[in-house]
Amino acid sequence: MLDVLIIGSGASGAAAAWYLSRDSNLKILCLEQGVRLDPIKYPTSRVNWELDRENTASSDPNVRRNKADYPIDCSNSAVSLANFNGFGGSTILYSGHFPRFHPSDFATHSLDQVGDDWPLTYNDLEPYFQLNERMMGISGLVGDTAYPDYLSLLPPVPIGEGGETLARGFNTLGWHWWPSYAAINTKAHGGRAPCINLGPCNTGCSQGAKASVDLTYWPLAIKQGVEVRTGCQVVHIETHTQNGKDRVSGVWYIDDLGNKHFAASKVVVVAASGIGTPRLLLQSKSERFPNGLLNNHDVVGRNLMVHPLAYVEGQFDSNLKSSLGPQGCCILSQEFYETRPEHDFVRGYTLQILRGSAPVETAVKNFTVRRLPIGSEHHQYFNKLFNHNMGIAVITEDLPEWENRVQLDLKNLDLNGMPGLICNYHLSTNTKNMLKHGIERSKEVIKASGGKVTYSFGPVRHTGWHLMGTTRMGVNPKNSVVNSFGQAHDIANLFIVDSSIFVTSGAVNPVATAQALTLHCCNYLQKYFTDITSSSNE
Amino acid sequence: MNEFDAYLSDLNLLLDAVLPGDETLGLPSASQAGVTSFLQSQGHLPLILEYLENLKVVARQKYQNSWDGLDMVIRLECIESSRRSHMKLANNAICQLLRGYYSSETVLVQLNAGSIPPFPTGNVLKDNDWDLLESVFERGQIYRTV
Repeated sequence: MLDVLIIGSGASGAAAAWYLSRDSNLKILCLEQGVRLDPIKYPTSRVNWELDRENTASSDPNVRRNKADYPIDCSNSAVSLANFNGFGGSTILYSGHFPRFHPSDFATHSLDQVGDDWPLTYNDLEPYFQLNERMMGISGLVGDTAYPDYLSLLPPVPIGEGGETLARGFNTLGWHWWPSYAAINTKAHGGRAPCINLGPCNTGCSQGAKASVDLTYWPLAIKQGVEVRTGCQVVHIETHTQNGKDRVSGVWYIDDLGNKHFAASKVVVVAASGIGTPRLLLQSKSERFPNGLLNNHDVVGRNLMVHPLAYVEGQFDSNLKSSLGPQGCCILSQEFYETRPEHDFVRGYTLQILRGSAPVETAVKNFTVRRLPIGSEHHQYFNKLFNHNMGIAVITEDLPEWENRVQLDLKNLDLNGMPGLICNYHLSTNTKNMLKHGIERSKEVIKASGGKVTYSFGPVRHTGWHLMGTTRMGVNPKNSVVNSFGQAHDIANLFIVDSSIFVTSGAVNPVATAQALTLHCCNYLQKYFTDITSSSNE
Repeated sequence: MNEFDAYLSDLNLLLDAVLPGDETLGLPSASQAGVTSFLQSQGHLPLILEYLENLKVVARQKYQNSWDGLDMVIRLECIESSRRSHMKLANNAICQLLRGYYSSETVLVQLNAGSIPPFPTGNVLKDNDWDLLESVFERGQIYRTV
């Protein structure tokens, strides 16, 4: 029998595997439904890499349709959900933008009477933020006035002429900006090479400078004895009753040859993402949990938060060489992060500055809106567009809402016959007002930087990368699924450690907080492992 | 000229009308940049063939001429006209040509687009001037304490 079985090898699964395997006495297995990719074969190693972003390296599973992907029906959702199912999870395709949540993000109800307070604080997570940043290799600059002090970071990613141009615009307006916190090596760290400013991080980093967990946590976890089986999809979490209490016995999974197996484990740790985790729980029905595991109070799958995002782009007269450098990591502004009385919304947003478009995107995007002619004038116009643009993503805080949810889609199944998902998600008035505000402020930044606004819209549909809240933590078992350590209220030897357990969403990319939370949960699990497993069926 | 050669000739006329070369910038035309091979490898030739047939109809009906009988200026007019009458087909086809052109190594080198995959070398970005952050520092803490 295993001591710990981890479901999912992404950001949180990897951190859990490493942390728990520091105890060499634990026998740990991780099951990952996707396959391990070879970085040498990432799209960025080919000259037509931009095209793969529209198919095999798309963040939309309905476009990508890999063997491990499951259908997600977003026809009733304002935002289309994105993910990546493979060894390393969505960190393979993420941009590596890695800011922490802020202290106020953990107390939105106390401070602003919206959402709920987390059953823990920023200070509780701070040591795990620091540990995680060391493990992942985070670059940036200490001293940010928008955060309590970071102790140490790798040198910041160069922001380029484009970043400096927008930084001057922020300064003109008297607004906050800061070099991005980036999960990108700016010098050799953790056995990985430094970034060489290629640009296309979000189709996989062939250089290995981007901290995807297949390169950070996993080599260490495997060295410490964790076994990983890829191509193995968990289809059911098995439970039993012992001394009147529900316990997890193990999981049923289907391997890449289609064979079904049972893996018994003293503890099961679920880290299958903000949508994969509720999907598995909802699928794991039993007599004691007829509506899905841990779902006797109808909370699983609800309160989905996705960070609705707006986009504003500016065009500049001078050549900023803006397509060079990590695409999603340049500078950020948290001028409008916190609640202000003069706003027609509560909470706030981050402005994440994005570098310029690559050649294919520049051509297609501008041709489509008739900004780029064809024929003899084409090249002169293209020359004025390419490397002359910068973007601003408005990442808004998404508050938990009961009706925003994922449910099983019994009509659309994956290759193993497991139901896909239906997403029902709408924007609140608060979010709409925030998006509108963010768009207007971004336009001001572009203008103050000397640029001309060329695009501004939101919400951007295909941006549901940040998936949170669907098995939230809390103190009340009637409106939350796990406690402050990720331990299921209903089953002591079942833990959830990914962004599903977020109570609110903050307004920053969630991976830094998700992994810190994972380490926090695993510290508890490791500390009380004997107690937690004492009544398990050994 | 056999049917295949005639088709290729018509295709090249389309490619070079949409993306002619530019001597000043040292950029090749679409046919010189290998866009035909790209279209073939990506399975887009049926789409382009359909579009070409559409253009031939426009050439006959609007300009009383064959596609290959049009001069460069009128051929471009013909393409623009088809964009208005068959917008989806025309835009889809032209976008594929653009994708092929801007995925061409020859083109990317001429554009000074930085290091070209498989990225044997990287790109150097200049050191940044962090004095720019002075005004941010001066303002002090902006996050809320709890």
